[in-house]
Amino acid sequence: MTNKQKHILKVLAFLSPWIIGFIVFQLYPIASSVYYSFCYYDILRPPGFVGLDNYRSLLTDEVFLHSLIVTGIYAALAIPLSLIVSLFFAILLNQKIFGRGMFRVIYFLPSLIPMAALGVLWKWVLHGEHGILNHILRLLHIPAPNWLGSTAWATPAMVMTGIWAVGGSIVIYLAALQDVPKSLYESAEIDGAGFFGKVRHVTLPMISPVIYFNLVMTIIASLQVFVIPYIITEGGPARSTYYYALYLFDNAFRFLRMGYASAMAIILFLIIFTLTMVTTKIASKKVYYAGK
Amino acid sequence: MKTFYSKSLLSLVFTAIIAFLFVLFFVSGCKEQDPLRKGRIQIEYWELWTGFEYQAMKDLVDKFNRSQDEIYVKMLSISQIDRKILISTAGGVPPDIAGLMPGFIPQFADKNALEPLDPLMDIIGVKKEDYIDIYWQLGNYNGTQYALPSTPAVLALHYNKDILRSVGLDPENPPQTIEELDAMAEKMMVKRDELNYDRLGFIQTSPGWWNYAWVYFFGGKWFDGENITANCPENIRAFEWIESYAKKYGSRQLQNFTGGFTSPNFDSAENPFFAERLGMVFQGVWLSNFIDKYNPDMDWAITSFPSEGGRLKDSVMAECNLLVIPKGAKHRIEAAKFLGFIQKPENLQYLALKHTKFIPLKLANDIDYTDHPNPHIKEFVRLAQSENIFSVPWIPIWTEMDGEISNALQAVWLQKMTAREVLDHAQERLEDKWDEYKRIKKAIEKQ
Amino acid sequence: MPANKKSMKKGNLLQSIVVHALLIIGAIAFMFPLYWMVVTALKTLPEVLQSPPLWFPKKLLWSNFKTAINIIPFWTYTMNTVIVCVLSVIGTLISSTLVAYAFSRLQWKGREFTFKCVLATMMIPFPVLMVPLFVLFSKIGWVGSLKPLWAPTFFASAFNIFLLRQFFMTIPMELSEAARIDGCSEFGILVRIILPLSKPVLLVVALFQFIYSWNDFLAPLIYLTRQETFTLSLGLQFYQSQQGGSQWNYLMAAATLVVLPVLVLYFIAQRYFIEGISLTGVKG
Repeated sequence: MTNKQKHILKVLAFLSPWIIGFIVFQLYPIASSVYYSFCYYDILRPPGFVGLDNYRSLLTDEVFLHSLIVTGIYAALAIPLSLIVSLFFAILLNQKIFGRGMFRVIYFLPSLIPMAALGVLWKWVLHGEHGILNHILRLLHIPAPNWLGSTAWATPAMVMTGIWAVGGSIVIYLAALQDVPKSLYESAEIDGAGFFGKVRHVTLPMISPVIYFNLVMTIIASLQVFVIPYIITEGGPARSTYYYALYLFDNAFRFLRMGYASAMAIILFLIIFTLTMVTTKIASKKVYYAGK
Repeated sequence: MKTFYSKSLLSLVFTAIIAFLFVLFFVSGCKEQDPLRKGRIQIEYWELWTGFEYQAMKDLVDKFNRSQDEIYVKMLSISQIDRKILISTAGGVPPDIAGLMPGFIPQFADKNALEPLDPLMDIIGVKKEDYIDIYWQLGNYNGTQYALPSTPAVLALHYNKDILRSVGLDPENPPQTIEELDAMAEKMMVKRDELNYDRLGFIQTSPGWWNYAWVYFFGGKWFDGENITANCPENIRAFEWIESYAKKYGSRQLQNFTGGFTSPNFDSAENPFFAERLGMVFQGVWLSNFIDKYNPDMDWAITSFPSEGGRLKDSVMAECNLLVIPKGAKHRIEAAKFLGFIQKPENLQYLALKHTKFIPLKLANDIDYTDHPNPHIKEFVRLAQSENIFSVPWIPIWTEMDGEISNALQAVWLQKMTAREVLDHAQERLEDKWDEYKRIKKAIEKQ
Repeated sequence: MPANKKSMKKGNLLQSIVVHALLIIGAIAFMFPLYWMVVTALKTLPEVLQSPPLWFPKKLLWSNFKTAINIIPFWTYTMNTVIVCVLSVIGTLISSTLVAYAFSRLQWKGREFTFKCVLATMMIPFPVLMVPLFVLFSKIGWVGSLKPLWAPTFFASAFNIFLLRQFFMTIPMELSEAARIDGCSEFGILVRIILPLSKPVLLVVALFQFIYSWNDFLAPLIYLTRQETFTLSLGLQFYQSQQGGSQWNYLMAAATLVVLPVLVLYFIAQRYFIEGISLTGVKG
């Protein structure tokens, strides 16, 4: 065996956990998802090939289209809001302030809370009659909606619950902000830039790679939102929070329509792939990489 | 990076984790093992009950375990039991015996997820003739027996006599027709403010567990054995009736009253019926147990649910807790023996007493009920044999149908759509599902 | 220009007040739900349902926690969760360091491209994999056991490979070269030189994996069938769906118990968390 072959073997040996894991837990599942999506399959009986039937049914399945729409609405609210909220607090935390460490802990803490506990907790906070949120709103003379009992307010409630756990992004942004050289702000000040001018012309461009990274992660996460609505609303009322992943889950594990669920999974994969590509394309024009 | 590593902290964290682990092993090591378990075949039994209902069955399980030395039954309480049975059966690790509600029998049987009981009948040792017909039928799909009842139930109108009295109604004359029900309900209504009611007479979403039931009181149904009948005229009238409540009392106000669709506070003092905030509910024979628990002083009675124009005499709904043996269960024979033990009249009677229900056997007619905890049990037994008793739609796509019906009812309740619209909509979707089901069925049979 | 300076100072002071005020309002909003969880957990049921709500209970009912522990088999759940977490941490530490080593300390053709592929796998949503993985695990009889929850961590995860690789890259190559000349194998270099220098990042990876496994809900929901095998997250949801949302004080006590270990862990190892998270973003 030549040295080169030996080296390759060595590299492969080190890589083997990932190679095996990739094949068994990612490549094989995706390949079989594609296969199942052309089948009728309920696990209890062997899969039967049905061609494009599942995809054809999906096109006329109103609940599928509905779940796509409500997921879209959720994402359209959650993505910009979590971006704005986390950037907002990160920029505030990056000012000269007392007790930055304490504030950082406070903002970060909710993001560590297990989703199940988070769901249970917010179900209580959002409770129409006894919920504390509505009580506070009533104290402030703001009309208190029945969050989880109305089709209009259930999705905003889910978004709010998600925003509460945005602390991870705040910390990431804060770290990025602290890496922005002070000299840039100083020269901007000399050019007469105010607070917002500095944010716009210095801060945002300098941390744009991090924004891009967070954006992609948020897009992926909000399109597969599952745990919080599963716990709080179970998709209701009147399917107003019946998001894509919930319908997929129900098809797979309640109706045992594994083939149909697989077709949905493939479509979800394609949507996420496309959106990520589009974001990357846009980002490649807008994102500023220092030192490149 | 350099600054944030300290050796002592690292070791502290890991010591803490390891110490935690040891404590846990110690704690769990203290759990005593049942000595009866040794050297026996262990079978696993899943049940959906909790609390005293669970305990009653657990007593029987213990009795069974003591009564012989071959089988040990391990009983577990499982929530969302239908999903868990389906997943574990699909996963090849089902329980040996499990509790299931009737709606799932056609679906599970059709997907080959249940063991037919007919070949095991000799071991179980029961015969059809002994059972009240409907409870035997609820375990039967296409002529094959897949399940046997553990505790049967009848759902009827429960009403609070004090509330009826307080608004000048005769508590001995409960409503016979839907129209009377509406009028009486309106009398009981007490407004608190613009958005809240202190008391209501009747609503269709408390507890909201049997959304499919209402159409039967108008002579409607969801499935006629061949075709989906979601938007038949009777169903539309039933949903218009529900719609009229949403209009009369206000969707927003009703949502405030029940706390939305997903906050069932059934097993609590907050349950509006126990809190005397709701005059009448459509509920099952078990309710007396919960009334005793949360409001033992309440003066209440039952009657068959009113029907449109009073056309259906003694119209009530049958529910039933069933026992099934999932496909692929490792110990079918032993499970059948345990099932046979539960089906013995004295054991069924024990369960019935603890659950304030009756037994699913015709024998129920001859039992002396003087000591029975449910004051209206005789009436329930009579209603169980009514010719106008109905039960859940018997269709293998029940889970999907249930979802559609709940969605339709919620849309009407929130006044998002009219009764006709939601039912036309449901009809269309269910027909698609039903066609697809038949298509696949044919394809599978060909293979 | 002293006057100008003064006005600037004044402006700074105003800005500082506004910033602090906004931060405090935000902090209250972020903390309040947690406060409300704990306070509800310490109330009696009538107090919980009292209107207007009680901001602080008259008497702290610590026994609610005891009740919650007894209602749900808390120790069983905790035990299962800890088993999954510990095995996952061990699994990911072993496998991810090996792979990260290959991506940072070994030279080979196609390394950067392969690494990009590894990163790309992070974008695959779990719902896409869930059906075939369930089928796979059911075929080998693992459904209903804890194995599907931790076994995959023994095959390296993209995120952890990424974290470790970033750190390994910062260790001078000369150290490896010297060891190679001394006749040390690559595995020897990893164990004797790289790992001792990488304890901070190993701790970060361990913490992240621990939290991830502790918080995971969807996988336990799919694979676990019997209450005896439930993890805390699943057990909490199970309790919630079982009691139907009425005894909020016990439910909040149970939720607090599920949250508590994570918070304790966080306060012990706070700095590592923040540094670790910053690490993911900056180079991302």
